[in-house]
Amino acid sequence: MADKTIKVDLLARVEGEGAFKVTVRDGRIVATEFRIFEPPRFFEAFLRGRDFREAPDITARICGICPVAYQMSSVQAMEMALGVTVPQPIRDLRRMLYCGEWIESHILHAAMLHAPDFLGYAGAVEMANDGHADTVKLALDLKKIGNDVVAFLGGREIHPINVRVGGFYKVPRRQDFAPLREKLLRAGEMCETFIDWTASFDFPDKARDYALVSLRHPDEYPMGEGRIVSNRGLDIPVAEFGAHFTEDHVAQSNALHCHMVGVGRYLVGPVARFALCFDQLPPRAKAAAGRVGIGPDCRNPYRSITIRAVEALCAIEEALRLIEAYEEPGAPAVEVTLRAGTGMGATEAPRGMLFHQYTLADDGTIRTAQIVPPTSQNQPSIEEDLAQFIGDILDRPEQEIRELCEQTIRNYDPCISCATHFLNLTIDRG
Amino acid sequence: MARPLVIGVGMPMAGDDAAGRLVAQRLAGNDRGFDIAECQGMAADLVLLFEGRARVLVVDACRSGAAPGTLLRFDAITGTLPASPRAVSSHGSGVEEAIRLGRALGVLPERCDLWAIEGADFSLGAAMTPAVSAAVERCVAEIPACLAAAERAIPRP
Repeated sequence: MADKTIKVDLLARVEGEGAFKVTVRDGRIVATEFRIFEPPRFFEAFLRGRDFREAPDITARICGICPVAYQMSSVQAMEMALGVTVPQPIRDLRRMLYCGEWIESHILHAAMLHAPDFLGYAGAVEMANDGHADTVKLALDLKKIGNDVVAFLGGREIHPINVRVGGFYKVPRRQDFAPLREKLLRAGEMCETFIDWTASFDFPDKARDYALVSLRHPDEYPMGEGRIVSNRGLDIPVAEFGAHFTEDHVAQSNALHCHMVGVGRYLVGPVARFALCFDQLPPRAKAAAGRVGIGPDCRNPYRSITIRAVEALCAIEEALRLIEAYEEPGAPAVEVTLRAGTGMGATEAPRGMLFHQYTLADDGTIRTAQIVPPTSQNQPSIEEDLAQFIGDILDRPEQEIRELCEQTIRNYDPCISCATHFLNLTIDRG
Repeated sequence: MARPLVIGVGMPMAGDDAAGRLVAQRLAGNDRGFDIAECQGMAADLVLLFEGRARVLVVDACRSGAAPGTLLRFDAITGTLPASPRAVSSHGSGVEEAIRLGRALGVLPERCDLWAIEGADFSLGAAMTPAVSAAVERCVAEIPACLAAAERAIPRP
């Protein structure tokens, strides 16, 4: 087979800007490069010198898809730095807010961005125009219910503004939840239908023995807190992230590549959470997973579309449970006393674990900021998937290779940047 | 039928890309007979906002090669739309994809206009270009009268 370079100049249906290149020599893949531009590096610099209270709102603007994740990791880190513990009702409201983001983000990616790969369409519009309009509409209506949860608790749908260090600016009254509860009850049925739809696709028969990393909480499926665990034996508090994970500059990318010390590349996101925390899924989500035949042993990343749908159902169930149990807190936020310190926070963004670390001066000024988003953690794993999964189809037409590469990248729901939708793919065959 | 809707599209903190959002924020607060929404420009979110509306006006930043601050107006349903600064893809602008998706799903407004403000600097952390700020003020001044005139022009049963 001739040497060649496979290049795709434009990949739609990912959130961000990047490029991809496969180098083939003597019929074998010798290199894969996934290059991305990533805003968190800019935001880290932007945060330095600002007041700690600004971090939740500023970091929420890093991503239009998962602003809640950025807010949650940042407030958690700030509260650790300042020695603040929030009461249970505040914690529950934050988890409920996170549920809204999981619903909207997972359904958006699964239905509008990833499903067209499995059904052979260029995008959601073509899919809707060819007999799938009812499903696309169902997914949009489901996403809207996630938007409504975020708007209700976060103050608005995009870039929510109601979260503050120590709690919220304003909290709802118990009776205010009634309309949202009705919507979430409907959403449960809609999501069951959606899960079955994604499970009906034909999945490439591919799998790898990933090093999996996620948060794990003793009592619940992980979203806002937990210890960092791995199937490679890791079980550490969030504060020890820096001792076990490294960020390295690589020539081909503006983003840093992450590795687990002593292990190397690793996977965060739905497949990792599902494998490491399946036992924590609430009953309805667990039953739905069983119905469609997907469990904690799943290592096929293409089936992440169904795991996302099951996790959306988990979020719906959890939001309903939290509404039922909600007791209004005595105050929307606890008092915060300024002090110098360092704090870390990690939460589960829809696409994987998101780590923040801040050092504060004694007047609350941010001295240092570190933000490790899930896509930069997954970058080395994305490159390895491409190296492993397309090697046996290099003799196929280039269009077919490109499509599988793009589908493989979209398994990760990569949030590459929040500005554009570019991804260049190059296959270098010499 | 619901009232007309003005949607401000864009990214705050990204220089001129914030123009549409700023128009929406400047119009909010007073009831002028139309509703206001903001979004980042994803087709899925725009379609959700379209649903149930007969009249939508989207304000967004664009890159067409015109002078910064130029205000371009398009019939989004029948016209060819300029490139959005944040959705330069094979799918065209977010508004364009939203129109195609809205049509496929049967939720297209009867009328949807795009007012596109030509931007110059879309980099993160950049200040808004003065000419773009002036165009924002022009939109804020002209949109209420434009929508009121359009409302009067729609025959009522």
